[in-house]
Amino acid sequence: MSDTQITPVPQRQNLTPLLAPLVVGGLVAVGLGVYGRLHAPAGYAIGVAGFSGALVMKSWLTTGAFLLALVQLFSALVMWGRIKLDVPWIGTLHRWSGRLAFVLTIPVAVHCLYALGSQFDVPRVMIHSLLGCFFYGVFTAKMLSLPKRGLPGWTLPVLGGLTFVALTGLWLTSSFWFFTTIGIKL
Amino acid sequence: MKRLGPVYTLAAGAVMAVVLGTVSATTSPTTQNVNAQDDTAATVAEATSQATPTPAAVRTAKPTPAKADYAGRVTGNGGLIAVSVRNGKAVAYFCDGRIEAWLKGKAADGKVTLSGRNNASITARLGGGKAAGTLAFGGRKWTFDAPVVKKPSGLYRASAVVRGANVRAGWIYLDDGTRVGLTVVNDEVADVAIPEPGQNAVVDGVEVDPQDVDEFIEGF
Repeated sequence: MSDTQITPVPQRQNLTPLLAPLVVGGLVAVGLGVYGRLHAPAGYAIGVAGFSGALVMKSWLTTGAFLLALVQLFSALVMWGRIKLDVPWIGTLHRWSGRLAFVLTIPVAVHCLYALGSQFDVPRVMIHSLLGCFFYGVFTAKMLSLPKRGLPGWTLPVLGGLTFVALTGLWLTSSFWFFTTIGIKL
Repeated sequence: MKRLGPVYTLAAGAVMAVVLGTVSATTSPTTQNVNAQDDTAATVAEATSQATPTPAAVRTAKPTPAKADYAGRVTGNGGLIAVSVRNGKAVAYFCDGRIEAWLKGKAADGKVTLSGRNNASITARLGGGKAAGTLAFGGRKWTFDAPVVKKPSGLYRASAVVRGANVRAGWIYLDDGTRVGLTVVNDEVADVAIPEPGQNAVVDGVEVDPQDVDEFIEGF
């Protein structure tokens, strides 16, 4: 199984199946950004109970999602044969760790968008706001691309990779910032 | 089934977000605080039945904003004051460039009551687009009238460790451009320029990010 076995003359790539996922993903990203800007921040949102404060809750949920994203990266590399490992359930692991990570981000995003809104005053907050919108856009595009047939081979690695990069950036600009400047609390 | 799995994942996330958003909107803290503060109304409602309290009982409490920022001048001492309210929690900062006081407390029933170190205290009524009240500090009292302000005006705070030293700073910006602030490094006042609104302060060559109330109130 070496790289040379890949078809030497690639057939003309048809990008049309990619159009719908990318358009919908773009709309999601733009829609979230517009909502975050237009909606007056409520300063409050329902989240997961058991933490001392909203930011603490968000920091830990995001950390959970980020750890699962590392599982995502690893299981994807196994699925694509980049890491040689014979585990038949790797696909299931990839799907369910991804779903769980996505679910963990939802209360965080609701608090971000409903309670705070997108803000551009400070570089960290601006990067975080933009990455947050981008994350859900590219995740939507990835999800909608999964069932499509006839996509270019690079579609899923690129979209998945971008999702991973976006989540890593979100974690760095939120949880990592919180734990290092405010402290590690529960 | 398998082909639609990703779509279900997206749909589940969207439904979760909508449910959380709706629950957040219906349990808005304005009404929560009013109910929680109005002990008599709550007792009456409990005694008569387990039904939800009547609107009349709720109306007896004065409205308290869930989120509001006030900043203005303190009459007669040359300092500025900022009061911010978030969901029943209140923070305030007084500063004249040499002396400062951080206070925290509660907002309820159209009022804020706050206290800080060295017997500093603030009581103020909220309403009519301003917070009007008194500041007591070092055995003396002043009055103030602070209108509602919008970002970038208002209160900012920074806490950081710069080259091993504990840095804490507070800044107040008014709409007319007046600003005041103080940076304290290891409990000593440091000579640090007040940053332009939205920019970082520079302490000992290191940039320190001023946080707005939404950012710092959790850890305050």
